[in-house]
Amino acid sequence: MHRFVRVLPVVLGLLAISQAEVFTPKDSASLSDFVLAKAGADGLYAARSADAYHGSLALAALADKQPAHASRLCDWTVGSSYTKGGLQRLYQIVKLAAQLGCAARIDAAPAAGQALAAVANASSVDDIYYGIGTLASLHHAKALPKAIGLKEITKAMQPSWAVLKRLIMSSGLVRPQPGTQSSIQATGRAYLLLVEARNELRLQPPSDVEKAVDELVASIPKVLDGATAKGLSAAGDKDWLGGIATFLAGAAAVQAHGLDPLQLGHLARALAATKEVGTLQQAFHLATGLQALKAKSFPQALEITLATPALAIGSETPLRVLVTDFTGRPVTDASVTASSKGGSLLTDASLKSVDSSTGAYELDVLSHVQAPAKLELTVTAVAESGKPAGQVDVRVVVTDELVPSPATITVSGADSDTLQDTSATFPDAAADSTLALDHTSSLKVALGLKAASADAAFTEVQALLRLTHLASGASAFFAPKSAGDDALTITITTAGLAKQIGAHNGAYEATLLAGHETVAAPLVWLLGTVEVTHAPRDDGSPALPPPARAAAAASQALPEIRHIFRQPAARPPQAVSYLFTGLAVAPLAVLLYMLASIGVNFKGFPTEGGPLIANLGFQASILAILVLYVIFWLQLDLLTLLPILAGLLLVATVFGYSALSSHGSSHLKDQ
Amino acid sequence: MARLALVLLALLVATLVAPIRGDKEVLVLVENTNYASTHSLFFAQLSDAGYQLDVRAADDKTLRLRDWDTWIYSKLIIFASAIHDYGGAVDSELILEFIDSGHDLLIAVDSHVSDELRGLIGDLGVDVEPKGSAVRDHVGYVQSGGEVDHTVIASGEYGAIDGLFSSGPPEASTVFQGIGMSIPSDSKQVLNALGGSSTTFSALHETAITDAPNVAAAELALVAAIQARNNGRVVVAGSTAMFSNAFWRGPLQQHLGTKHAAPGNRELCIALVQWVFHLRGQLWTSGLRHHRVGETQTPAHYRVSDELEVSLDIKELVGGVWQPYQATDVQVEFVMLDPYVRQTLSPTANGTFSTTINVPDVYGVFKFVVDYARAGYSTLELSEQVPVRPFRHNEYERFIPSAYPYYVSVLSLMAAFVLLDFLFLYRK
Repeated sequence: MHRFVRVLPVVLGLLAISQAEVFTPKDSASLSDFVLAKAGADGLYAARSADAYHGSLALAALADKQPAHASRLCDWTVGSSYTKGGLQRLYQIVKLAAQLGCAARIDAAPAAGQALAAVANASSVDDIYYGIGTLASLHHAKALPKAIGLKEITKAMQPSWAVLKRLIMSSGLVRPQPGTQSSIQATGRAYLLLVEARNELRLQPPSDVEKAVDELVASIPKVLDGATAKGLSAAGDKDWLGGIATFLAGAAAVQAHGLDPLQLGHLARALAATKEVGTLQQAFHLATGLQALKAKSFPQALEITLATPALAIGSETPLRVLVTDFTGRPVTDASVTASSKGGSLLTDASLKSVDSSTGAYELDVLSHVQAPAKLELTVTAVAESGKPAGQVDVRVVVTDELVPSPATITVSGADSDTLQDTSATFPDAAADSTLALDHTSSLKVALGLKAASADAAFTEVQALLRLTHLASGASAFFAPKSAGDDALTITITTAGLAKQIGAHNGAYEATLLAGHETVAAPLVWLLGTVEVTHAPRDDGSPALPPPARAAAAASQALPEIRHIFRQPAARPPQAVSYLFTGLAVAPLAVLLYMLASIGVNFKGFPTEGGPLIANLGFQASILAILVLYVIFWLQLDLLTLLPILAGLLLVATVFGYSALSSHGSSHLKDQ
Repeated sequence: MARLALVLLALLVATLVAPIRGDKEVLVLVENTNYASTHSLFFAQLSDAGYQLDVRAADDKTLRLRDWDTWIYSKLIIFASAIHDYGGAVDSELILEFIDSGHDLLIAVDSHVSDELRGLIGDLGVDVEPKGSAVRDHVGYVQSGGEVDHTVIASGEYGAIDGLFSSGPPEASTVFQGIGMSIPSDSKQVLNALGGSSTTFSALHETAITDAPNVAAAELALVAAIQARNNGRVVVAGSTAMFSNAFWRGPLQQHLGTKHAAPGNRELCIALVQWVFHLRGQLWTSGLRHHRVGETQTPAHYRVSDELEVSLDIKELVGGVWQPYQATDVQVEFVMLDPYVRQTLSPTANGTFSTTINVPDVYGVFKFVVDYARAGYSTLELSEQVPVRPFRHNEYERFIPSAYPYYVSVLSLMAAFVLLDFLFLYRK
């Protein structure tokens, strides 16, 4: 039962449909709805400061309206206790109040004092980030107490600059705290705190730190490049979404330049792939990440989608791509070009904008291609900046119809003499519907596969002849050999069949399968039925089918075993037993009869004195011994019997000696 | 001194407690952290179920699976097909030890599977197709609206594994893109959870085929489920993409196939995870009970030809609740070197299985044995030793009619003896 209690919530969790909703950057309205739903009817986010912070700032990032009763949330925020709960809670409450426009109502003195102390004693990027962020928000709201001016903040910040310098690594990444691994999120927070320190609090790093800080900001393109190669994360990152979003927000805040739009497009796609948002924190990160991507300092990343993955020879379908920005809005003024791999087919061929409502661009590719092929194209979209803003490698297949020639099916004997010969024309089966194949013969299928428009061999086509055993469903596959031009031959023997699926005798269905990405419609052609007889076993009996798979056999119940008990010895009929019982009793009856006839008396039995006692004791002990024998037979064991018998024998001996002595004396006296 | 003792105690506690985690700790090794977004639905399912995922790059130099003799994680997921060397203190041998110690492993690979992982999967009894090969289906490929790719296939050939698909397999086919596998026919531990459809095959190249494929159709394993002898479980999937968000979403449209609102991927992947994490196909038994018919106490020994009643309770974990297990193929054996009796136990609605057996007329030391291994279910192995003695001297049959002449002759002899005794001694 204990185990049950432990696993129940796990299973219920797995069975339950996730509460998370599905979002894409294209439907940020759904993201807003999610946040508003989490805010609750009273808009207080269940009185959780972290949720209220994430939800309100997510809505702000989405440029959406705050939930109803925002003033009530403001009142709750201002009244919240922030002195207990750590620096992060203080930061979130102050930021939330600033967002709601009520930071001035906060009891700023203890808040600013706590933030100032955190900055002065900072040992990590987070300490500085939360401290500076809190002070900046209070400063922006003109709520800083007079005792804490910029002079005091500048003084308190001195140790933090030194800490920050130590945490900045040569690669442009930042460690969250000494002794830890570099983190994208910590790096993003470093950017953000720098902006707030410089722009809001007018703080400048000391000269010995300034160079490291400037290099940190200048390294953003390099960090983006390195992080992209490693899957957009650094060794010290646990929260992938938080890391990316914070990095982007930081990069946007410092107005980073020289960022590669293709890499930003990669980031945008990665954020777009974050379809599941189950918590307000995730919503906050996704919203702020998407907001950052819209920053003016960032080059516009474009998304290119292939709309025509297949082009059929004979049609006039052009290559069509859709160009949009990462929010899904069509882009019509981009310069879109396509190049084939190696440049042999297309080199920077321009695509024309054909539909402004969808951002569609087209190029006539089929005029360059005459045969079925797979085209590997690189499509590049260049925006106004002149830099590639979107690039994608796509594979476009040029397809053609597959035309099979009539198939010739021949069964040959061991000496190559033809035993059976028939043909089939697609889509019909062979005229001679049942073919016979045994271990002395082979079956050969010959046919041709052509591309309809090119009227040439379809060399890329993958063709296989499948033989399916009708009784068991087991299938064996045979590959064709080229017989020149478009001709193919497939040879089947029972040995080849047995090698693949074992020696199943009986009817097989022969089906030709052929297809390829460049084939417009695959070929599934039932050629006919083959009756297969495998080589018999050494004793001449038919070949045995293969045993079942061991795993399946192990799952079967074993045959029951009933123990065969030893049969009791035969006994005569009861009537016979009774007859012989009567015969066994007969001598006694005869004895009684004879005794009766001669006249029996017991006048010699002593009637008085010691002889009487001796004879009574003697006869009684003999009778007792006989009775003991009967009891022994019925229930006693030998060890119980022996002592009793010994006692009775002793009695019988004593009384018998006396009785027989007296009897002898009496007998002598009578004589 | 006391302070030193306290410090030492604190160190000891920290050493013992810090690295030990509960049975919901799952180490997820990924090739790169993009998996956090591309497979977020799958990971969300695990997180929602209460599992604490530690998602790490497979080459993370700080990786640890074991701290001295204590396993840090109880479950391992590897989504790092191309990884050549694990980071930190993890290697294939350690992962095999992890399984041998009864822990669970889910591996997903693809066409770029590394030799390291191929070797590990081979050690688990599954043969992976050559590197670079892919499962193809030119007939039943998935039409996604994107690029035409016949390596994106769908299969509805779910294995007949009751323990895995306790409520039936997914209705829709599962979308798959990856590498095929084969399972040796003599393997008792490995089950084909998802096989290829009748037109699916594995090929190394996308050009014309000149040799018959190594594996195809139903013999082609797309997902293999391994039930180890120690009841540890492993799932090997030939596709990492089948766990991805892109493959979990619908609709599913196969060429020459029916359209489904969504593929069976979500259902299959959840079933696989529940199975490999022992939330499905898990049996529990009360142990054997046995006594003579008409009695309730288990005696110290039995006598030849006794009639016994043997029973046990079996329950199955269904939706987190232990429910009576329903089966008609649970068997008990009465064994002395070889089974003398093997009988199928009759089930009842409350999960009690029972039967009556007659003790063979052979005495010695016997064992009741229940060895129940069914596809996808945890193995039940019960064994209990009981001595069997012969008849005692007074336990044989009495008053046999056939022996009446003997009884009567003895009694008549006794009677005649008494008569003759009296006649000889006392007649005058």
